[in-house]
Amino acid sequence: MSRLQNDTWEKLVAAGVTAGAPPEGGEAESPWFVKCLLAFSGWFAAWFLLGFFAIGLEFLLENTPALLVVGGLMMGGAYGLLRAPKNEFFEHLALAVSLAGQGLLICGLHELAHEALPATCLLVATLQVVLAWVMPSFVHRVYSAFFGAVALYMALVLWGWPDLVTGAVLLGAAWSWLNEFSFPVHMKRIRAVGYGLVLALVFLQGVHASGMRGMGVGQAGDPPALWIEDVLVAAVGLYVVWQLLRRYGRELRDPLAVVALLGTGLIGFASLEAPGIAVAMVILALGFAGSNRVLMGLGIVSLFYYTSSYYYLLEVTLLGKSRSLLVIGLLLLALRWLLGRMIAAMEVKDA
Amino acid sequence: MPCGPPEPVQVGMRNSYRVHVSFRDRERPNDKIVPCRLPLLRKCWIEPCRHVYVDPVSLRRSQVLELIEAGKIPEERIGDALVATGVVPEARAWRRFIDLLLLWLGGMALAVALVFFIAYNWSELGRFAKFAMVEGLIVLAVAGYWRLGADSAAGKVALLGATIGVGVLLALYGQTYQTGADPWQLFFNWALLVLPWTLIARFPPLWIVWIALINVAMVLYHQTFGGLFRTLFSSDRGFLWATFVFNTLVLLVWEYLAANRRWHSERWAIRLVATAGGVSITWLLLRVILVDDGGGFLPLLAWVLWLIGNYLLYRRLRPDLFMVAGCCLSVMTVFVAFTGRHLMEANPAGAFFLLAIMVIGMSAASAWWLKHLQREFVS
Repeated sequence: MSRLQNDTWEKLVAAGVTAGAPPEGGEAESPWFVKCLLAFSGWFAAWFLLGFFAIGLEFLLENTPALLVVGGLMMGGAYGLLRAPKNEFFEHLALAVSLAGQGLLICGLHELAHEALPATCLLVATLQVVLAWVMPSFVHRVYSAFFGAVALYMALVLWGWPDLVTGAVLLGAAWSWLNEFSFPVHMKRIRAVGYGLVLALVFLQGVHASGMRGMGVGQAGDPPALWIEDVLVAAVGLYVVWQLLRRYGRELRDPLAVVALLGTGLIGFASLEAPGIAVAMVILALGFAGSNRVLMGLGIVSLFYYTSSYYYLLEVTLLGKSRSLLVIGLLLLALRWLLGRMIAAMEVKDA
Repeated sequence: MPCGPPEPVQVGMRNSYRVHVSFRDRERPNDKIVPCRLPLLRKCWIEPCRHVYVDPVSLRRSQVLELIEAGKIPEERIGDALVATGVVPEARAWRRFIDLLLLWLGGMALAVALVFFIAYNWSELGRFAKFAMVEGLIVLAVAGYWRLGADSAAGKVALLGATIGVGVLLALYGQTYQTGADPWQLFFNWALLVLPWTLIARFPPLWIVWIALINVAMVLYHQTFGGLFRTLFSSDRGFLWATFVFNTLVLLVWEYLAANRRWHSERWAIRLVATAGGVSITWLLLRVILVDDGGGFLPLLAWVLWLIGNYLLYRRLRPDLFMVAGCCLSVMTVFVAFTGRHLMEANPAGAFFLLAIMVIGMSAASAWWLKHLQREFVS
């Protein structure tokens, strides 16, 4: 056992949470980049398998029941492999087989829905929810949550409600990370879903900001009502701040709580034309709240990705974007100044 | 000689370093343990690092998660455990975080607002007013850096803002006077002008911006003239060679400096530079395999040397699993591309199936090896 683990155990003993000698260290969890390697290779292997089906078993793609059966069997097989005792090769094989099986199944579902894209997207989103719950693999669950959110987005785009997605996905991600430790039995599941939803948010924010709403699948109908998306994002921001304040025993009447909530509301209001900034701030706050550096890194990536995509958004002129960013920048600096003054005054009062 | 950053927690300690002729096997029992005799090697980065870098916050979090999942912490005490171990930050840490978040986001939002404003080219504002505005903001930012101090977060934000401002000024100059300069010149001159304060600032993000500017200048130069350093690299693989050589040299210098300068030991920055070099050489080899016919000896040799260098450096001297994982990914990508290129025309269906099995096999082997290394580094 490492020195740091002993140190962690000693802190727990000192706090009266645990007692006795530290337990033997088990298998350490793989770092994020090793999981990314697994995800990346699983994705590629799945495409190669689909290529094999498309060329070697072409007749399969023309037969809807066969697509559904083979796709379902592949997913069932992957589930079986993942349930088996841990083996690196089978774990990687299962991920690739499941992703390829999902590809076949989605083709079958599309045919079954008479090529109605919104219905297919909704079916895919439902399928991904089930897979995120059932599949006993962290990387698979991340994939399922990601694909589920993207499928939901596409369905809502096709129905003309694209502005509901960011708020809904952000709410899901916020709930997952705020309740990461609330259900110990489902902790891994909740964490994987949280990562998948945040990754989907980063992706969708970039898609929105670069003006590619709908990702080529259809028209969102009328010009998007940006304010609905912004109001939802601001509401989720307020929910996150309120939950964090409650975690630290702050009540609504507390001056610091009032300033925090007012500040969050103002940031949400100021970023009406640049909601990606508020989204990135929420991700960063969620990451910090759980000492999760990977999540904080995703928040920073989201910010960079959003800002660079925002430049190309055609719905707002560069002058308009410049004005929005100027207002946001000044507001954030003013809030910092105000909070600094308040905290200093409180510390003097406490002393 | 201090080695490695003093800040990170020492998880794995290497008590001694065995000097081998071949570096092949550190664990052979008959190896003599001797101090390194070459003065340069003894003094600089080649000296093995006794610290395995592990982010203490992330490690503590993963340890607490592991204990909760193993049922070692009673369910009703999880909240207390999170507070006791600092996984849930205390109020003071929150204050610092919010202060930095508001400062960085506010400062960068203002800098990007300036970029967008100049890019809009608003005709109602005269050119002198625009120049005065941009130059005034640069002076203000530099004065802010000087006033707030090099070590304060606000000073660093001001300097990064000034760096962005210089680029905006150059773009405004080109936009106003239609100088006809090539785009690469903008980025190269930008990098040249901000080099002095990059040197004195001792601030890794500023160095990353500078390195990114040079990389962009190299790529744009290549796009303009069809090849960088024509005399050295005759084909249009030139920019990949250039970015590979540049980023690898930067990495080696950075690792050397990281040995005794704390501000240079930010692992994220080192990893970013290493990724840029690794992507360049892998892309170069992919180009040789998938696009070009012939002329692959030099890229192959460079790739093999890069892999060996990484292995020696990041397994033996400065243990870093991220770098080794990057090498695994590069090897997988190159092997799959090579196999696909040669089998696809003969039997596409079989090739696809074989490639899928290859990817799964290689990724499983990589994951197994990386886990083994992780245990070796941390235990």
